[in-house]
Amino acid sequence: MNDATRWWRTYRAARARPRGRAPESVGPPPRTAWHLARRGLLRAAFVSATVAFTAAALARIPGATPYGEPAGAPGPEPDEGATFDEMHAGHRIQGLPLRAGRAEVAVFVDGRQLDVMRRADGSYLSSVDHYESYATAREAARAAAAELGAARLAAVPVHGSHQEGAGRGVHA
Amino acid sequence: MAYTRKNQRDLTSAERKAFVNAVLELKRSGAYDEFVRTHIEFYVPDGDDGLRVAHMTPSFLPWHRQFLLEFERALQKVNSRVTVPYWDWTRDSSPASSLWSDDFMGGNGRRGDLQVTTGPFAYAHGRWNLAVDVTEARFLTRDLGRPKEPIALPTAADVSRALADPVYDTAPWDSTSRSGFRNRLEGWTTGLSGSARFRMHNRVHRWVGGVMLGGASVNDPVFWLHHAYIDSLWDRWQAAHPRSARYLPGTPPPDGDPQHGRIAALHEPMPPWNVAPAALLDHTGIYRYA
Ligand SMILES: [Cu+2]
Repeated sequence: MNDATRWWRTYRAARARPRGRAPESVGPPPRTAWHLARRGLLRAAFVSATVAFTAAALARIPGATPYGEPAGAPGPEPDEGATFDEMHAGHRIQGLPLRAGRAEVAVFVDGRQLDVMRRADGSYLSSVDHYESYATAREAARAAAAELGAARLAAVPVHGSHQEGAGRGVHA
Repeated sequence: MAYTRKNQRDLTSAERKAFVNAVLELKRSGAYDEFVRTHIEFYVPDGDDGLRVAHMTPSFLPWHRQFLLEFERALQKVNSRVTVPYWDWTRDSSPASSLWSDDFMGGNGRRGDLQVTTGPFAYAHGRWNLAVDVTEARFLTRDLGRPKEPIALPTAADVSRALADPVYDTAPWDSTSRSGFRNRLEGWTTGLSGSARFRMHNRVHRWVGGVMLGGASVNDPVFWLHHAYIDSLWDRWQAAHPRSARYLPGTPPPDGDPQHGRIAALHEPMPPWNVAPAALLDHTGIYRYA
């Protein structure tokens, strides 16, 4: 392996993407998932993994100071778009904020983690939908669910563990 | 002697067959899946910190140029006469194009699960299953033109507009760069909605749909034909702007710049090959586009 690659891999390994645990135990999604989520139901369920999205976390996101056009630019709205539990296009989608990592939110589709990444303008893109982005994690999750159709996410996310080599996203 | 990359529409049926067979052989040997993994590994978006070399970055073009060269070398180990053809999507802009015929890329995905059921890469033929993918499905998927909400491929006028920009790339050197040839071609937008969000390179990924839209887009062999055309457009841009810097930035962003350490300047090596953009500005000694 050459130096550029070794350096790159070491760097990436040092900042592994946060992995959440699918909140399987919450039961069927509540009809007004959103309001219940705000009241803390989801937070209580995810207590081990969940840390409220703080102003300090927000400040670390490049999108908080967008370079681009402010008009209509998707800004990070963690409370509106990061905590959710709903059915969309036949899939259950769930999101919960995380403390660390750029994505700042763990997203699940049918209990499996959907890789969600962020752009410099604060918008979100997912591993299902890699060539466009959405204002919120929730919108990215909805788009991924719609795109999945009858398919199910792989058990191991493709971006899940670069640094672990063999295991990443490979079907068992 | 330099070899030639041809427009896929000009390939003879023997050339089509040779290309397909070499791709299938790389799949059989496992080499193909390594290319899928590499593309996934190096897809670092600009909301992440750390170095990004493949997307949302000035080295989008040289990184994919080297990626294509590596793939082409692998193909040529199988059959020394094979080169990567390109897909000019401004001309072959319909699912009826011979690009999607049974002896080449195969056709659209069927309705329902979007599974490609025709051509050499159809799952049922036993030679193309997706070992590395975003979903559990092991078959190739496509949704050409997204019939549910139709979207068109970029046009020749769109290409001309991108080529007209005399500057290779501009600060902040990421997906929010509002001008510069690189992002005009890569196609990231900010603050738009609906189909207008998709431009150029990104829009083609959307138009093909299915696997091509996701992180494991290399699983669709048309990936290479698409990127060969993107690569040829970089040539056309250079020819149109002989006095412009062929690559920017020429020097790394200084300490304190938000992009410090996050992009490859002209002479900085790109992983995983340790090749700098400067080494990839002129490929005429290796291949040419016909
Ligand atoms: Cu691409």
